[in-house]
Amino acid sequence: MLTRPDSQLLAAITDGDREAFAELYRRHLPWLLVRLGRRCSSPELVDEVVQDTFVAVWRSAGRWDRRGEVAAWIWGIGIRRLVDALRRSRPPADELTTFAGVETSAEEHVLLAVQYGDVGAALASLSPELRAVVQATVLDGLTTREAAQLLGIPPGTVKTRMMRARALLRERLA
Amino acid sequence: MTVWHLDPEAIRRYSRGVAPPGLAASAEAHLMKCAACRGAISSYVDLRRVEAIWHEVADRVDAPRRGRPERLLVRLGVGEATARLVAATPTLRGPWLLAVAVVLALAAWAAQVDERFLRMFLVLAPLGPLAGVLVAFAGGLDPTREIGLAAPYSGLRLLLIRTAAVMAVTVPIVAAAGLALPGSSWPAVAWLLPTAGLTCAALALTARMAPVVAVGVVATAWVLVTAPTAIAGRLDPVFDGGAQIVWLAVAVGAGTWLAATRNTVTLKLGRSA
Amino acid sequence: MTTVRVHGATKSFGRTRALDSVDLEAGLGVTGLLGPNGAGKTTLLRIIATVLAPDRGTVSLLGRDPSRPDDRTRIRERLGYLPQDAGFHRGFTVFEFIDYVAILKQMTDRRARHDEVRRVIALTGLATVSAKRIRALSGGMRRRVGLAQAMLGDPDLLVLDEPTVGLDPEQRLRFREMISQAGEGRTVVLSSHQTEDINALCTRIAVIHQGRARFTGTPTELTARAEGRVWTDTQRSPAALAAWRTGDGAYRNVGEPPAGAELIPPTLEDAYLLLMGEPELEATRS
Repeated sequence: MLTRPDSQLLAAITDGDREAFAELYRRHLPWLLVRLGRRCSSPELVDEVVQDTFVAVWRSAGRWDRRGEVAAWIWGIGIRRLVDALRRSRPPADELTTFAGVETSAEEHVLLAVQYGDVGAALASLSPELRAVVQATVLDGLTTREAAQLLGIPPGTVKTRMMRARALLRERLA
Repeated sequence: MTVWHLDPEAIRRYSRGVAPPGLAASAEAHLMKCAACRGAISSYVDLRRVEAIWHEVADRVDAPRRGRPERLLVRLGVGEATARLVAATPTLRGPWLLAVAVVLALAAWAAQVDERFLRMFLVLAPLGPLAGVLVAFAGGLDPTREIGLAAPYSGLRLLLIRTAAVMAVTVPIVAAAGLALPGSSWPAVAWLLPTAGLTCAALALTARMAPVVAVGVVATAWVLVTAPTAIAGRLDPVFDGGAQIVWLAVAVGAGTWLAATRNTVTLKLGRSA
Repeated sequence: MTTVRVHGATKSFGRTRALDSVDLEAGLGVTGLLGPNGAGKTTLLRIIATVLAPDRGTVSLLGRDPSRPDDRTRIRERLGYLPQDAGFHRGFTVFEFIDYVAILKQMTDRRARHDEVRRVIALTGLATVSAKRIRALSGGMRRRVGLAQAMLGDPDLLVLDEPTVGLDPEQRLRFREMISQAGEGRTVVLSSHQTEDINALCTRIAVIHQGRARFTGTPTELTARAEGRVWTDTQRSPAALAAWRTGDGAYRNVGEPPAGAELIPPTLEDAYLLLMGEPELEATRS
C-alpha cells in the first residue's frame, strides 16, 4: 500500500478528509511534542498548544503555500502558538529548560565535532542564554519580538545577545 | 550515496530531552526534512498522551460550527443542544426575514402617507410572526421532519422552542417598522398582545390539527375580522384597552389548554399522508 | 419477544384506503415488505415507526402500545427510522446532521453524543467524509448518512423505507451488507419493490398489494408457491402470465404450464409475479 506524502494529505484535509487528518496527526505529533517540550517546561501547556496547533492545521490546511516541508509549516504554527500561550501565562517554574543541566563529556565533545561538524561544537560552547537566542531566531525562525516572548526577556536583550552570539561564533569558526 | 539519518542513540537522547545542544539543534534541523526519523520518535512518546490529545483534537474538529445566533443563545444560558435545534429552524434564514421587513417597511411608509394605511399596518403586523411559525413547521421546509417525528424528543417542545425563536426574531422587526409610524407610539405596540393571543391560539389548535392548518385558520380568522373594520375606519374594538385584556386572556387560556392536551399534540403532528 | 405485532391495521387518507386490515409480525433479523409502489408499504412502515396511528387495529412495538404517549416515547428511544425521502438541512455536514438527529434522540450530553455520532459514522464507513457537506455527496453516500442516523443509540428496532432505491449495483451491495449486519441481534423491517434485495436480506417477508397483505412467511415458502409453475420454452408461451427472454435466448414462462412443458426451479421473483396476478404485471416487471 502506497503511503501518501504529506502534501497530498494536506490537500485531502482541505477537502475535509478526516482520515487523512488522522494520518497527518500520527506522523507529526511525536516530534512536535518533543520539540515544543524542549522549549517549555509545562507538559500541560505543551499539550494544549499541540492541540491548538492541530486544530489550526485542520482549519487552515488550504492556506499552506505548497513550498517547503509540511513539517516546517506545522512547526511554524506550533511555535507561534507556544509564544502566544507563554505570553498569556508563563508556567511558574519555567526556566531555560532546553539546555539546562546537560553535561557533555570530553569524548562527546569530540564526537559532536566529528558527526555534526564545527557548527555544532561552536554552538555547544556558547552559554545557555546565548544558545537559546540563537535557537529561537535562527533555528525556530522567530522574529526578535517572538523570541523575546518565548524566552521571557526584553527584545533589546534578544538583540544584544544575538550580536554577542554571532561575534563568538564567527570567532570560533574562523 | 547513502542518505544521512540520525542514529538510534541520537534519536533516543533527543526524544528523552537529554541530548546536548549541538545534537539537539542538528536533530531538529534534520527532522524538518526526514519522515523516517520523525517516525522513529513515536516510540518514545507516551501512547496515552497521544490518544488523549487526539481525542480533544477530534472533538474540536468534529464539533458542529456555531453561527452567531447560536453562540449568543448559549451565552444567554440556553442549553447547547436546544440552541442547536433552534439554529436549524428554517425561518431564521435571512431572505425570509428580509421579506417580512420589506413588507412591513412598506406598510409603515404608506402609513405616513395615509391614515388608512396605518390601520393596514395593524392588521398586517401579527401576520408576520404568524407566517414565521407557519413556515417553521411547513413540512416542505423542514427536511428532517419525518425523522423528527419518529424521535423521542417531545414534538410539542420542539414546536414551542421554534415558535419562541421565530417570535424573538420577527417581533423586533415588526416593532421597528411600527416605530417608524407617525403620531403616537401606541400603534407600535398595540399589535403585540393580539399577536401573542393569536400565536397561543394557533398552538392550542395543534392539539386538533396540524400546525400549518392551525396557523392558517387563526390567520384567516384574524384577517376576516379586522380587515373590514380597518376599511370602515374603526379599529378600536380590536385594539383598545379592553380588547388588549381580552387578548391577554386568550393567550393565557390557550396556553393552559395546550399544557393540558400536550400528549395528543405529538401524534397529530404526523397526520399528513 | 416478537418485536413488532400489527393486527388488523387499517388506514385511510381521505377516500383512499392505504391499508386494509393488515397483519404483520416481525422479530429478530430482517423482515421485508415487498410490493409495488403505492401498495401501502410506506404507510405500514410509518405506523411501525410511530409516525402514524392506524384508524383501526392494534399495534405492539417492543412490547409496548404506541397509542399511549409515555409508551410511545419509550418506543422511540429504542427506534431508528430511515424514511423514503430522507431530507437534510442545507449546508449541514455529515457530522452536523447526525449530531442534530442525536439531539432529537435525547442525547443531551455533548461529549457522549459526539462519541456516539463518531461511532455510527465509523459503522457506516463515512469517516472520510464526516466533515463534508451532505449536498456535496453522491446519492449512495447520502443514503449511508440516513442509515447512520437511524443507527444512533443502537436501536432495537430499525425501520428502513426503500433503503436501496436509486443506488447503483455496487452501492446496493454495500448497503445490503450493512443492513445484514445491522439485522444481527436487532429487528429490522424494511420495504422494497425489488425482489433481489428481499431475497438477499430477509428471513421473513410480507407481500403488500393495494393495502392488503397477500402473503406472509419465509422467502422459501413464497418461492415454493411457484413450484411447477415456471417453465422454459423456445418462445413466449400463450398460457404464460408473464414471459421474458433470458440471456441464453430461451424464454422463461410463468403461469399455468401446458402439458409436457419443461419445468424449471422457481425463484422468488416468479412467485411474486404469480401472486400479483395479471393486471399488475406490467407495472411490477421493472
